Amino acid sequence: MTAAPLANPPIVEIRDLAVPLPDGGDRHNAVDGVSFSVAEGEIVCVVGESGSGKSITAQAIMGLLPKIFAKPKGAILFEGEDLLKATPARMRSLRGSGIGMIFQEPMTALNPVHTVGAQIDEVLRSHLSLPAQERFSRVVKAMEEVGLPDPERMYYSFPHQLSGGQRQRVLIAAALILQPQLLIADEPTTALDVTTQKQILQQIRDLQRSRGMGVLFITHDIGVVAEIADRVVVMKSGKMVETGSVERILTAPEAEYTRMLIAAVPTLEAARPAEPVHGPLALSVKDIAKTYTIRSAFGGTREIAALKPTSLTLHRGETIGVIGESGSGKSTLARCITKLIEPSSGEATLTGDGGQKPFRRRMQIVFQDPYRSLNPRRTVGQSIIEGPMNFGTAKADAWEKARELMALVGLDPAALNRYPHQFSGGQRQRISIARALAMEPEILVADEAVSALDVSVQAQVLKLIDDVQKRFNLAILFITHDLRVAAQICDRLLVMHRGELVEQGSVRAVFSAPSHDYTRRLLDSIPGRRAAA
Amino acid sequence: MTLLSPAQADEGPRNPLLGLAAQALRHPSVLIGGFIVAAIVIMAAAAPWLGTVDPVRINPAMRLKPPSDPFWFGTDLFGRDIYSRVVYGARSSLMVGVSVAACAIVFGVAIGLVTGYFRGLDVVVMRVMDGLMAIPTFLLAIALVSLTRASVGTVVVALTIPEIPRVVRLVRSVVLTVREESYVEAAISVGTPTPLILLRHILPSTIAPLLVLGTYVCAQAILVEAALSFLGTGLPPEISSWGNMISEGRTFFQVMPRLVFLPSLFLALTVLGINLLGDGLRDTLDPRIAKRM
Repeated sequence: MTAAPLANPPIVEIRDLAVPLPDGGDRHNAVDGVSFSVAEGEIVCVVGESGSGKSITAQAIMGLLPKIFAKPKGAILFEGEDLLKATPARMRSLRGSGIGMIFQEPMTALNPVHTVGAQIDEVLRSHLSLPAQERFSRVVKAMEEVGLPDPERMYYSFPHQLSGGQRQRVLIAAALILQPQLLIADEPTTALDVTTQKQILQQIRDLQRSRGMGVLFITHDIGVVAEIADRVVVMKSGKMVETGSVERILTAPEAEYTRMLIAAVPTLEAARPAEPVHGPLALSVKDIAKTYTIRSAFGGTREIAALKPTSLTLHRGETIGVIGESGSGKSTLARCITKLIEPSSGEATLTGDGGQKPFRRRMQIVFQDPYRSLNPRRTVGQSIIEGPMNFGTAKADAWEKARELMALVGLDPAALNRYPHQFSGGQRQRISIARALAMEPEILVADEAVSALDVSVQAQVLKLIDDVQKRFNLAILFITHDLRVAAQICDRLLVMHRGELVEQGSVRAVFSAPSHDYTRRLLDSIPGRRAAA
Repeated sequence: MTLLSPAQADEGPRNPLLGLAAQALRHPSVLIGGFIVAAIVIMAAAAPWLGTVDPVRINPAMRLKPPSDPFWFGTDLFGRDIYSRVVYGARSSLMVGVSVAACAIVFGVAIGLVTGYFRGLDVVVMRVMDGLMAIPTFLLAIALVSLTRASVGTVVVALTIPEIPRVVRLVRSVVLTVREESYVEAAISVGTPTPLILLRHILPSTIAPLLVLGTYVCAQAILVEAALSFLGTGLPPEISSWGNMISEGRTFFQVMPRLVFLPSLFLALTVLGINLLGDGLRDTLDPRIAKRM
């Protein structure tokens, strides 16, 4: 490991940090022997998959470790002062004035019953004694600085009146109003749409440059690393795997794990040929639409078009990717097609040869969240055989089929009588796929099926979906917000924006020559695109 | 292809509910409350073998006697054995408490599951429940007793009706959350019929909060039954019940405080035990239940 010589003195230096885990965990230390530093004017990215200890490291610096952890060992030197030895009162005064922090979920980090201005003001009130008029003008100035529109009016807004990106800007304003030397950002853009993420990353970059502060940026996304980092620390299972400048880590990673992490990020190259798939027609959707009517207490009604009339056709052996950001109507489309919600107009017709089979046997869906899509109180075997048994398959036959499917999705059939909490996220998603396949469907709808998974696991599950498609000649409707994932598995893409289908075409055509303005913006926002190109 | 084993392979198949139950048994409130409740239940069940005599046999010659050999706690106004009446009184109290809790839960779960799941019904049924909730227990009991006559059944009905809406609200709130879970959607998409979805995928989530609510309903019912009996609108006077004993003893409270003191002590102990048990169960089974109730 060659650490580049630092141009500036370090603001925070972490030496041999170890955070012990309570007994009964999968390892002794949540964080084990981690040493790195953040200097003035640089952005250090800590990157790792879930369970790598990256957030624990950030919490240890802030002195905000949950109580289940014992006192950390090692040293955290903030401008020469060891934070692990600091009194709670000293830490309180440092938070905000010396170290600012922003979090992943901007909705839960803000108090819903106070105006956003008052919440930024709280930082000032607890650290300084200033007249109200001056505090107000400083808050407004801070809100202006993070690019919030019309700050004097927005001061009096409540968090729910703001968009996700605006809320994150409010948090940044609160974290930076006292000009701290260090900003800790824990996955600040993970919950945001990709176009918003791009703006927030740019904002953090600009503020860091103009103030010359150090930023410790925690992320799981190599693309974000490429976008924002000066130096990178790679973590795995609580240990530091490798550290170095962003150019070196991305172009010449030394550790095997870093190489795997970078290789697992899907490229934007279309993996499938641009020629249309000529399988038999499986699904024909005609002008399907969903409108919600909201009745107010005074008898007025307001209509919200979640999905404007949309048509599509899907062939056996073909994968269509539906891409779009939150609120684009892509999940509504999936739910209308699978008849989980009733469309307001239009219809989805199954056109395959299995005309005698009931609808639910012909179309199956895999959900996003592997922690919620299996009933925690039923064994995975019970979950898999539920569908076939609903349609009259004998229990013994269904069980035999479930054993085959478990092996097919790469899990030990002996694990059928285990409960979901005993499996990892990726394994649960395999079980969900096995449950869908148990119905022998012609069409599989995958609603953000790999979005909640770490990149390395994501690659494996994508490969599994690809394998089962070939094996059963499935028609797949693949809903995702991630264009890289879509490029890996789809033949055709539909781009949705505000409930409307704005563009469709082969993956290559959409990526190389996007015709709609929104598609261009979406493509342009993919983090790390310049570095990858 | 190598097959993957579960991430946590060493613990074997284990139902998450069983894990919670094991955890609950280590909670001090559950232990203490459970011990008290178990002791009272054993006392009630084994009443005839605990050195008791017939609790309703009137013996005018032995009125208001101090404690002696056959009458360990002395006798009351009609010469009945106080000790026997206290022991047998546990039977009436527990029977009323458990029956009220059981009836309220059976009706409440049935109504709550259906209203929570079918949105159309929700508006109508919940307004009916609001109406039921507004009925004062005492007035209802007095009305029922004056319409029919004092009996265990009347008391149970009078106490159950106002409790049903509380159970319905709890079950409905659980159903409203669970019905949005992906696993319920997954069950719909594999063609599971709606009644099975309710029983198989939604009902189990209500068990833990219902256990907790059940203990509160039970304790409340025992207290209200005693109060009703004290007012003379509860259990008929010939039944040994702690409320009846307190009521009859109050005239002689100053000369023989034990007439009131002993049944009150057992009443307080029983309610305390059940409440401790409920608090402990709430802490371990469902930390968020306080928000739902």
